[in-house]
Amino acid sequence: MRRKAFALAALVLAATVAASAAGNAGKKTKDTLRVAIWEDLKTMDPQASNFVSYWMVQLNIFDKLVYEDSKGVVHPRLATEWKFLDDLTLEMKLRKDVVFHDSGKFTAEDVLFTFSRGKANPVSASTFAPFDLEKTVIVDPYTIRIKFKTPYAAVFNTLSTGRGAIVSKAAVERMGSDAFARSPVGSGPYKLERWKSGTEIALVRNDAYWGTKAITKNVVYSIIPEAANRVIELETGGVDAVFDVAANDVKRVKAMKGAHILMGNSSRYMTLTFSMKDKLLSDKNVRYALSYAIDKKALVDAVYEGTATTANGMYPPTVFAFKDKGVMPYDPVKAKELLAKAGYPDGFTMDFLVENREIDIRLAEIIQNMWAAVGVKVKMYQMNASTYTAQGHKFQAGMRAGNVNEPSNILIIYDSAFGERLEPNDPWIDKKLAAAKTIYDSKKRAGAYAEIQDYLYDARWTVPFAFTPVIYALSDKVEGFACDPMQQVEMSKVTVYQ
Amino acid sequence: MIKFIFRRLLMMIPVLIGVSFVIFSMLYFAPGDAADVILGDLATPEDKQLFRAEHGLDKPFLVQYFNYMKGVVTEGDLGTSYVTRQPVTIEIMERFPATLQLSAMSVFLAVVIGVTVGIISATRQYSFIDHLATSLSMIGVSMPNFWQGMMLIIIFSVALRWFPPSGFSTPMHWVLPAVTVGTNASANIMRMTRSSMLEIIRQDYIRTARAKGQTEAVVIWKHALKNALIPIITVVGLSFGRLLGGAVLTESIFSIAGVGKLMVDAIKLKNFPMVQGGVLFIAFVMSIVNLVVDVLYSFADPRIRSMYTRPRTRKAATAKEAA
Repeated sequence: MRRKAFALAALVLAATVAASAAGNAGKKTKDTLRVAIWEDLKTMDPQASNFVSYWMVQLNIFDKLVYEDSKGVVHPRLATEWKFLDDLTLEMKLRKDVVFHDSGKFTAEDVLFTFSRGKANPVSASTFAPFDLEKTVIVDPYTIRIKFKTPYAAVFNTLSTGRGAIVSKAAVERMGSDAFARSPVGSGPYKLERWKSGTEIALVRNDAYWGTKAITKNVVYSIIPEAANRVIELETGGVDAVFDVAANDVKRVKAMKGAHILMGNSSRYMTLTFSMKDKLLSDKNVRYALSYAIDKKALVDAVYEGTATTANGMYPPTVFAFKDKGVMPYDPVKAKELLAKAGYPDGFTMDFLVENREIDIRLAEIIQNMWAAVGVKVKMYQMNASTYTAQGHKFQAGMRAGNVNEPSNILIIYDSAFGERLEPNDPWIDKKLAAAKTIYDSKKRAGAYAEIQDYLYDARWTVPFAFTPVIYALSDKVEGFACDPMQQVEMSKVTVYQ
Repeated sequence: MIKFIFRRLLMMIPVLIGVSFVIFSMLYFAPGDAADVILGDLATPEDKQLFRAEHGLDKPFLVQYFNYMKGVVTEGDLGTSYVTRQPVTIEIMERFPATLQLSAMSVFLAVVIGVTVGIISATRQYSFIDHLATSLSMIGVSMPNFWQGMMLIIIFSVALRWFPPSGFSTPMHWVLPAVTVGTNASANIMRMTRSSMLEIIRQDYIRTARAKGQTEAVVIWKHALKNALIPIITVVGLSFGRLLGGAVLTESIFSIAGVGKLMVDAIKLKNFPMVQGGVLFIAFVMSIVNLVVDVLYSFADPRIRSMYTRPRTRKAATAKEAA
């Protein structure tokens, strides 16, 4: 019966998709796609960027060597084939028919140059740290032998992220990095046409693109920081697609004529963090009590209005080697017992650091109440971590948002080398994290990360509580818009009908 | 007059030096490290050290201040934004036209509405129209810009589809933001015009003018308004100066890339050069506006004009009197 219902649902879904496609079939296409995004880029230089919002525009201007999909399958882009000669050497063959926007030819020199820029820029240096560029050799203009200092299992992830976007060496050397950051030269399906700071970014099709050429000639990103205004722009026909729709606007879009919501899993998650330097929180009973005291499902449903899911693991399920640990249980009675056992039958008071963002504050206020119910009072600080430490505060409890799609980069917060927020200084976890990074065999690597997730779930240094989705709002006239978990949508594949 | 303007321009130098020093020390001693904020929490201590060295943040306070001022004075260089690595001057000048345009349109609207309504309600004191105008201006003053902006969007963009809800590119885009800011400022101007006019129309020379048999229009617009102008000019100048510093809330609501938003973003990111440069720039603009206001005073009031135009004769006269 259940299967039948499911089949029926699938049928209905297929029918709707077909209908919406049929609705546009035979219609003329528009040559400009207008998209609303939430913030301006500070730079078009991929190696100087550290936000998904920068890369999501840059990815249309630049190409990468490879593309690793969410299942871990690596697809060729600028690199056509590759093999590991040994654990520390990756040989890549490059496409010979690629030209940059300034007509310069793409060669292995550009690849090496891109890596060296990554290493030199503080924003990307730690990502490129395992690359050994002194020993990396350019075998011929279309073959590069990349050397690593240690085996580097996340290499394809790094090459697929925004930081791995290949820049034109000649163009950077000609303009200098700062000018390049305003007028980028890549080899991607679009070229930057104009950029009105804080207002809009306009791209135009690169007709000399080596791959499938972009369907829509122009893409204009309108920068509209207010979430409600982005949706209003869609409603009034100012834009065709909206990035980052707020949870409380979802209903509004669903009620709109001629527009719909596209929602999917993302790599964003919210977690509570406990400092292990703190005497109070280094007691495992206290951490478990604080975790038991929170009704995660009620919290997530209230704040995200049904769009997010309650976390059932240490990191989001879209990320490699995710292990379903179930939602951390809610049991206020047990929480009180554990507090009594730890020697705090009447509770205690601690500091709670929260980012000064609307959604974080709403979450924190509910958590504050849930903790108060078991006798734990918190003093809430709404600021970023650096201001907090600079004011002389010590970390106790905190809340943190993550948005990374590679386990080694997500779990870096548990490493001793990482900042002051957690500081577990746990030799076992340091060793395991370092080791997992070097395992190329994906099955073994998944096993290593599963073991780490078990350990972290048990340690309760953090309490992940929400996996939040990516939410787009689209006009029904838009087709080919992929629901990417990191908001890295390829505009070259999008069609917009009249 | 030219001499006066020149002297006033010279006086701006100590003001700007003072402002630069205050803002520089405030940012220097403010808690939080630009390296942390800009590089994010995945950066290693080495990355952060690299950043600090690159931007001279590891030098002592006075050295940093001196280096900064040297750049400002010798090259007109307000520094380079940490975040975009573009010159601060360019960033500000990219945003300033929108802010200037919004301010000018709003102030124009505010003056037209404020002065007209103010005069009407002063000349018909305690009439129905006066009560209506005074109450409307109370609402205008108390209505927050952000709320008014949102209401205008809901009514004129979403419901009626007359004007676009955000942006500032075409004349259609200008209407809602200018009305939002303009009505708010007009309320102040209207109240000032009304009270200033009320005071003036009770003066003897107004009675004299009427007794001479001049038409009411000439009495009000020529004799009364001209004498009531000084406080009105002051209020208009203040509003204009304040708006040139950026109408942050209005800019946010209508997604206008203006100076106000630029500054708020810079403060959030601890983008020190941007904040310093921005504050210095705003102080400069404010000084210029004040200067213009002073010059306008002299057009409105011959007594003030005489102070500027014949300082030597005046001094001589005072000296003679003292003797």
